[in-house]
Amino acid sequence: MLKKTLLILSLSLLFYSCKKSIKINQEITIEEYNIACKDSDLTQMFNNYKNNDYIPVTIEKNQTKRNAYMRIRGDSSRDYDKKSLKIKINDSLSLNTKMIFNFNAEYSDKSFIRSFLSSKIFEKLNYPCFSASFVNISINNNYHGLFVEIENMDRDFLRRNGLNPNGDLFKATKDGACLYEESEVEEKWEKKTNKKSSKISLEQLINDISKTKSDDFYDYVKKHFNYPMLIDFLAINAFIANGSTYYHNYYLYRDHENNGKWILLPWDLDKTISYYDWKPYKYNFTSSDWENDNPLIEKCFLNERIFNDFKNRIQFIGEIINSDFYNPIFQNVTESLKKSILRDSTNKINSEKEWLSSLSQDRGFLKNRNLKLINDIKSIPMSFEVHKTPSEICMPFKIFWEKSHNANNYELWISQNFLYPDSITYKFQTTDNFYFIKDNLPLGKYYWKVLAHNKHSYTEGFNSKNSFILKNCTPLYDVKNKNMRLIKVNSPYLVEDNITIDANSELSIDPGVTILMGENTEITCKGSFIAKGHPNQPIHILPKSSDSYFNSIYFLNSPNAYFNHVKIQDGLINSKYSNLEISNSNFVINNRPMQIGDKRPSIIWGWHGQVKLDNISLLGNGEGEGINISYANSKITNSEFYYTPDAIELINVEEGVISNNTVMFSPDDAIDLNDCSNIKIHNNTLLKNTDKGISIGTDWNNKFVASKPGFNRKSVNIQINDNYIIGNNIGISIKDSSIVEANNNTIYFNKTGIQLYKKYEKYMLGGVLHANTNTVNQNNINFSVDDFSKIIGDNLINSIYIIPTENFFIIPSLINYKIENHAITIENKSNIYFELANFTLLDEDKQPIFKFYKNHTIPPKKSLTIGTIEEPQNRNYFYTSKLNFDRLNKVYLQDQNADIILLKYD
Amino acid sequence: MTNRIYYVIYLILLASLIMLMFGGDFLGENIKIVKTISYLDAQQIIEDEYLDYHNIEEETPMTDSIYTIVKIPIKNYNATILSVMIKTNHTFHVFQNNHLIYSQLQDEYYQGFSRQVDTYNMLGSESLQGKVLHDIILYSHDPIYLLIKVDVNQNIKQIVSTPKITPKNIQHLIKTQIPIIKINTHHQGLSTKKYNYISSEFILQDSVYTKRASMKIRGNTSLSFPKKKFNVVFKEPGKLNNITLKQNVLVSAFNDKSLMRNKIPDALFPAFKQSSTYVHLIINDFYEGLYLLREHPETQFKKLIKDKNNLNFLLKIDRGPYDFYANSKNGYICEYPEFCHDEIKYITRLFENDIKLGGIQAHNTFVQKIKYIKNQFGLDEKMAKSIIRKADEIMDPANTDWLKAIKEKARENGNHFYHQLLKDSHWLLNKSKNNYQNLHFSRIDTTSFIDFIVLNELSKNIDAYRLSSYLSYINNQFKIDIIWDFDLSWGLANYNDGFNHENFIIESDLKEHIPVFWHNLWNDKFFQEKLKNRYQKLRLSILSNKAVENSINNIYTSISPSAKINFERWEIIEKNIWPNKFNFKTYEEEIEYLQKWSSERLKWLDSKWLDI
Repeated sequence: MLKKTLLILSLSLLFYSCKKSIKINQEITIEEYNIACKDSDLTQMFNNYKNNDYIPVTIEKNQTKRNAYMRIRGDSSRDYDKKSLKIKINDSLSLNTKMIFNFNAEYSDKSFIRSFLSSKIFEKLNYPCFSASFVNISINNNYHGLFVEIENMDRDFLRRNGLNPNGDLFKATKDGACLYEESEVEEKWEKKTNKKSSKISLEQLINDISKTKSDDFYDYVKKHFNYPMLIDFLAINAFIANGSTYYHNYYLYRDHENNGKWILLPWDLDKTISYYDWKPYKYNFTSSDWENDNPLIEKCFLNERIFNDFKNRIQFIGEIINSDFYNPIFQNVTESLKKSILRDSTNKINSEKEWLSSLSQDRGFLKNRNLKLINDIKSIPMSFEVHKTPSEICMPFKIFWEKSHNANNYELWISQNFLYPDSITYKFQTTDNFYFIKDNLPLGKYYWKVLAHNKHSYTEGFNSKNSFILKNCTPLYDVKNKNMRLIKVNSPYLVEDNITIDANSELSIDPGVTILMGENTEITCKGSFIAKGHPNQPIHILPKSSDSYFNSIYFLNSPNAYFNHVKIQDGLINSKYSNLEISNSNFVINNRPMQIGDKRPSIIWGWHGQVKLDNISLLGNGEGEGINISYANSKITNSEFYYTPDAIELINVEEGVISNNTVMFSPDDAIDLNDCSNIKIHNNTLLKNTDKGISIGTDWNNKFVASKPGFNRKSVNIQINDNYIIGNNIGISIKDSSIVEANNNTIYFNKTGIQLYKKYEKYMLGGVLHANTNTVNQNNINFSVDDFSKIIGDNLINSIYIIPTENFFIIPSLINYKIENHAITIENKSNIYFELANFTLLDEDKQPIFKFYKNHTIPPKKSLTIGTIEEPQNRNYFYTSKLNFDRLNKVYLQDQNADIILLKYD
Repeated sequence: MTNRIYYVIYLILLASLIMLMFGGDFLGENIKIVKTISYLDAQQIIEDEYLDYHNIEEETPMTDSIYTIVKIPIKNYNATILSVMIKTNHTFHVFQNNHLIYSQLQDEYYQGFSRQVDTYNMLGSESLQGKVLHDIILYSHDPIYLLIKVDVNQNIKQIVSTPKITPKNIQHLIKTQIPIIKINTHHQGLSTKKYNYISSEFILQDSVYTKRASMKIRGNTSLSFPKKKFNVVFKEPGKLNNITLKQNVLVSAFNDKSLMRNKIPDALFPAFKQSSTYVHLIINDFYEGLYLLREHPETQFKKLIKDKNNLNFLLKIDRGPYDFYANSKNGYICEYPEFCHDEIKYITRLFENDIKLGGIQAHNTFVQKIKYIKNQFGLDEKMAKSIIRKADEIMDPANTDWLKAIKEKARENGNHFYHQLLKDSHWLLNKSKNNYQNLHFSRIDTTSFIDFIVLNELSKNIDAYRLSSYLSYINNQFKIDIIWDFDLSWGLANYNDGFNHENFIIESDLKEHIPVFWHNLWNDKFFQEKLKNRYQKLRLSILSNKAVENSINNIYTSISPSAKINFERWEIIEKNIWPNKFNFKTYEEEIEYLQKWSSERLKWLDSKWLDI
């Protein structure tokens, strides 16, 4: 009885186990297609195989026939004997739900399985990937060959993969689509959806990737990419050894109507699995030998957190893509494809034995693939970053890079050919993370890269396509009693040690000249200094070595210190009793120490004399100070300051103008006035600064200032008009007997709008503000006035409307629109990025006419155009067929809360 | 000794079998709450798409509900997807390795995808507890964490569980000779608000074909049932058993245990030219049950239009927001045409005025609208929210665009159309005097109105006249061409006297909710006379005792094997399912009751209408 029960139970168990296993589609079926066309058309198509001209055909499957067009497809594969085909149905009806067919010849794949298997791996891991299946193609009822049908990447593909078909789909069409530089967008990227709208979101992506440091890259990709999918994409590509992507053969997708996060999608997976065994494949090789590295992928590998997630994901993939997964596929392929493989005489596969051998090689590749890959990752040198040199350098020079964690030594390659042929490539070995080139190399343009080696392998540093022009430097020495002109033909000039330009001399610099500064060197100028660049040929003043900095250019009693169109990197400008004038120039601080003990040097420092700054840009590193001027009449206009503490600080200045400037993300104040008088602060935009937008008072902590005779101990006759002061800790702060007149300022979303108080006990009064028509609203506290302070006048609370957005604010009163040439142009007249996602344009009946999404951001002083003309009109042009101009006598903007604002017609 | 070994093996096998059969439930034991957190922390986690629950403070519940982090371990190391059952109406977010990997917003269902070929899955009874299946894509085999707002007094296992899934061979369904429609939602899910792209595969006895389509969940009351109704729009034309595949409806009738209450009217009243066919529905490899595939009223209406240059429209009588605050008026919704213009507002407002909420503008925020409703009507917040949601749905621009299309047609055709339409509209809305005269002036197709009344009274459809009733306006005439929704008919309902084979619906307690023009017709003695004459004729033909009995028997014969499979998925036989008056022990008893009730109903109607 027991035996019987046992038998029944065993059988039940067996039966139940069988039932429990879910059968996934792993059967290999070969669909049969017949293509009918004129013989003459066919001959013409094959003769002109490099063209994309379509010929008329009919395509038939299972006795269903459709009219269509056909052409040869592919890039380099067009030269092979067996051509890939593209067929587009031109009937309204699909063939088995498909309208476009890609039949890939797979000529270079001797196992004929790589595209199919790789797409199955993506599918198994639930990653969106084109479907691939085997098909037999006959043309005019004659057998043509075995092909792999690859799903077209279009809106239907997006739909089938749960992605919004209205999103932007970009194809990396040509070699060099590496996300390296904005200029590649037009030539190397193709938009597959929303083709009539601009590619500005991709340009923005490339720009952002370039600016973001690898240490900050996790936060960046987390915010702008679907992070789990990004890790998946990196890990799956590494797992299948896809060495033919990241510089071409991939897609980027962005659902701008929803979260706006980017997703990478695979394409052309024939060069995978064991294809690169000859090389062999390296997971951190992100481009081809002849293109730039892909900074998105490189920076992911350089970021420790992303890299760890990548490694963990490979472990997971290995658990899924095991022999239980791939053995049935190999077995089915071997059984199902044999007949067709042997029948197809156009293949590169010469015999069954050769084919089976290739299949065996691919299967062997996948065996314990995750362990092998993890081992590779552990053993080969880790990715590392190299630092660009100045574009013009001279002998001797230093090349510098970050360390690769598990490298033993490094090799610097320098060559005049970007493919680094042995015969003309200089190779230098070192165990350091820098190299001084002292040998004399011939002058000219060079490419260079760094290879980190260990006993197992090597890794190329990011980027592997750096270049410089090697010239003879012209050394600069002291200039005494003479006028000297620096000309482009003698550039670059080299300041190896400190030099002085004496009071009787003038140094003038021509457009396009580069001055390379030795480490911590200083130019002291007592005479005239005239650096007059040109917008297209700016003057560069920068450290000689990319890991270095220079001290400063110091003007002492200089009658004329003039900079126009000059780019200054990692060095300061100090001016004492001089007339300093800087316009159309920018300053970037990366390596220059800006916190030395308790001292905070300023990027531009002035003491007496005159200072005039117009249209300059300061990009700080969050330390030191921006502009600090004492006792000098000052004019600071039309300039931008980012990440510079106390961006504009005036001390004891008796006359000054600060107007039309933008200060953002200062870790301290934006504008700070101590003991100043007769200063006009107007039309500035002060946004998201850590402390005060405008601080008016004195600085008792600064002994150097406070101990001076004649110290006023308060600021008076300060006029603050027409400024936008938004999102700071405190909007305007006035303290310690200072007197300010403020009108027409817009003070929103600060923690405290206006703060008047007495800071030091010695004072009788706090701050006094004569104020009318300021709009102070939506601050946590609009007014904070202590008993010693007072406001004289009336201030409006609610007349101007400002809307916070994801990163910035929108000021509708600074949006104008105009309608011309079947397009509506929205102009941003502010100094802030306007992020219009989730806003809607309404017509005069307040009916929606256009909904903005995450693609629609207008930079400061720029515009965005929405139109019905199908050819892109400008970089920020968005096409819509639905725009109706009949009712646009008035245009309203509706925000996320459904509040409506009438826009101004320009 | 040998027996002992056998006994040990027996025990091991028994344990293995139990493990296999109830594996899902054992896994359920591992689902546990790891932390409750504050609203602010939860919002931050959702915004950051990042959860590190170790570094978040535990929060003591201050209200009835709180955000909870639920840990679910992954046991199957071959899995790339985790199937979880989660109670509906719970917004939740899923994290793995700290990162957000899945989100469920309200009104989204079926977010999985289809990948099986020869098999389908049968889901256990969790869905009867109001739970919905979610397929969560895994990125590792580390545990997943659900961030979900739950009632503090509720056991988490009532909200989250792992499902019992039984794979089946699709041949079981093919053998029933009922067509199979397999839907793949491609991860997008299906919503109640908008159509989403799907692929549909039709599996018939001798052929398989696929069609691109879009689909949404349909219904009002039926939304609360686990077996949903669907609207489907096929992108490529075709036919299935004489049903045009274009804009269709998959009718579920979850609470109709006979599975045929919507089918009987088609069989009995060919005059309405209704067609429907039974299908097995599979969504993302999961069997959803036996459905009735119908043409959408709009598709049916379009087939009736001969002259497209005329002004034609289809009006649906349905509840409006006023239903919610007990106003006797009803809503009229234009189902066709879809796109319109606005100068004809005077006429269309006659229909529409009842669904407009004065003082509320589309751009008002949700909070402003609630405030308005609370102040205006003195309702509580819950009721106000419910009204606003309904009103928003109806006031959606897509719904009111029909006004514009009518105007456009009007412009093209000249004003004389409007005079007639205005007259008819006034009559329908009881705004003109002397209705009987207007009835003739208005050229109402009285025969179709009479047949409609006969059918709805015969079936004693408690939703008749006031819900899902369609008036078509073609060739300057109102007519009833389309019959719809007999879920709560043929003696099913335990309320509104629905189960009682006696009494008229139009004279029932519901009469105040029925548009006045129905009563005007009913109370008109000439109309009554016509009605009785018509009934008399019908009793000799399509409504004879034998004809009705045969109709029911024929349907039973054709669906009986499929019904059994349907009730494997939906184990509701014998169970108390709202609003069934009776809960029979077998499917056959359900059909016997239907036969008996119909026979008694006919007898009662004979006593009222055959006495002339």
